[in-house]
Amino acid sequence: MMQRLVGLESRFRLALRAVAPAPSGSRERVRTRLAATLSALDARSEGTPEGELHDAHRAPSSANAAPRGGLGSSSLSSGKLAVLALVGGIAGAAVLHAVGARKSVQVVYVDRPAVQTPALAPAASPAAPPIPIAAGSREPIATSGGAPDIAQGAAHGAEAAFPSAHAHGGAGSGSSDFAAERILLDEARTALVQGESQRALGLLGRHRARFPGGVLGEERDAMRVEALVAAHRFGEARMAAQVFRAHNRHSLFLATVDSAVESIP
Amino acid sequence: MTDSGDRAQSVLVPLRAVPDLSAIFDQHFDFVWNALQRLGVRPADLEDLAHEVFLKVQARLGDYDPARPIRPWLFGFAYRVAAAHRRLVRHRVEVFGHAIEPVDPVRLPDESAEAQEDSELVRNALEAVDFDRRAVLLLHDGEDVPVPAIAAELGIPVNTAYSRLRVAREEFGAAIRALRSRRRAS
Repeated sequence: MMQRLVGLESRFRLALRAVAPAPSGSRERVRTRLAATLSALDARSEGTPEGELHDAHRAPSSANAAPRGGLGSSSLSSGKLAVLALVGGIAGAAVLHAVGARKSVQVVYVDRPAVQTPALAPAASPAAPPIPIAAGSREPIATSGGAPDIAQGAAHGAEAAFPSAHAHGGAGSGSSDFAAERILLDEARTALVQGESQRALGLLGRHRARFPGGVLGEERDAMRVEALVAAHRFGEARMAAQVFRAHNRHSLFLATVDSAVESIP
Repeated sequence: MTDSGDRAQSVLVPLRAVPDLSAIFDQHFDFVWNALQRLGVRPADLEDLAHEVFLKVQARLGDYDPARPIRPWLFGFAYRVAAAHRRLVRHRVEVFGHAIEPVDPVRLPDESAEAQEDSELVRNALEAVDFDRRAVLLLHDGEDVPVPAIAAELGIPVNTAYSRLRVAREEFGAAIRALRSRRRAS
């Protein structure tokens, strides 16, 4: 059989070995999202002071130790970038004191290109900048080639972190609200893929409470169906799916919702 | 091995540092993307699953043995993530029906028209191969990973890996032939 395959498929074996380049937009979106997720996870798991959160250049303790802050290192600069990843305004000790009972709230600000048009991608600078900001800095870093609205999103980082302290929907709050929405949903997605469906549902509930009319509400509701299925709350999942279908008849997330419901045993 | 043996070994085998996630991402994102794609992940889900793969890679980076090639190791993550995704969404793919989803037409820049056709044909033919068997085929015929190493990576008995490879090749060859026939007829 092997000989037959080799004889028949030598040209196809070449195709089998070929690695086609992924779309650059996808690469950068995943990179940005990954950096944000890792920063958030790192902050949550260790409760490090803000100045240490993005110390991406620290050396691993041994050759086999997993490097931390992976996507923050300077080696990221090799990719073509349309993304401005603005990570900053980490809620540190001072904020924790101010918020009181809120424990270890640390937020990473990322304006994703998902809402940008693909036309942004070619404008990227040849070198992708490090994603997280320098340790201890509260100033957002606008990377070269960035779009002004993304930089504005960074300027509103603090507002995005604690939207409860500011009126929603006020002038200039759009991008920060979007960033905060995105962060919540990314956290929920991360929880979901890690099997923490209850935590995902909690985060989605927070999103609903904080952004009842949020621009990412559709994505949230679709993800909630997935989370309910993952939590084995099948009846609720079916009901949520029905409601979703009724309100979002032409949604791009319908396939996700349907797949989640179909997976119910 | 004795201490002296260890020392001798450490002299003979050059130390290789574990790459950090940034380097892995930069160098192997395309590979992971292609692996997920060839494992049947829908284009709409590729970004989510690539993100998940690298999250898991980061979590297990300490387990990576730099003496081993990294691609099979990465493929293992892609395989498991794609498998979990399939279990969730219950993808159903029929090769000779109308259920084959169009494959994302990403092409190598220097591909000739014939090579592009071959790439497309291969991507579609892979959809005909059972998921678990496809993983073995991709690792062995795509990455030249020895079957015992594949078995270890995927956590299956060696004989099972050989069996999967044999059947996968049959399925893959049959799908190639069928698709080519269809192409000629059209």
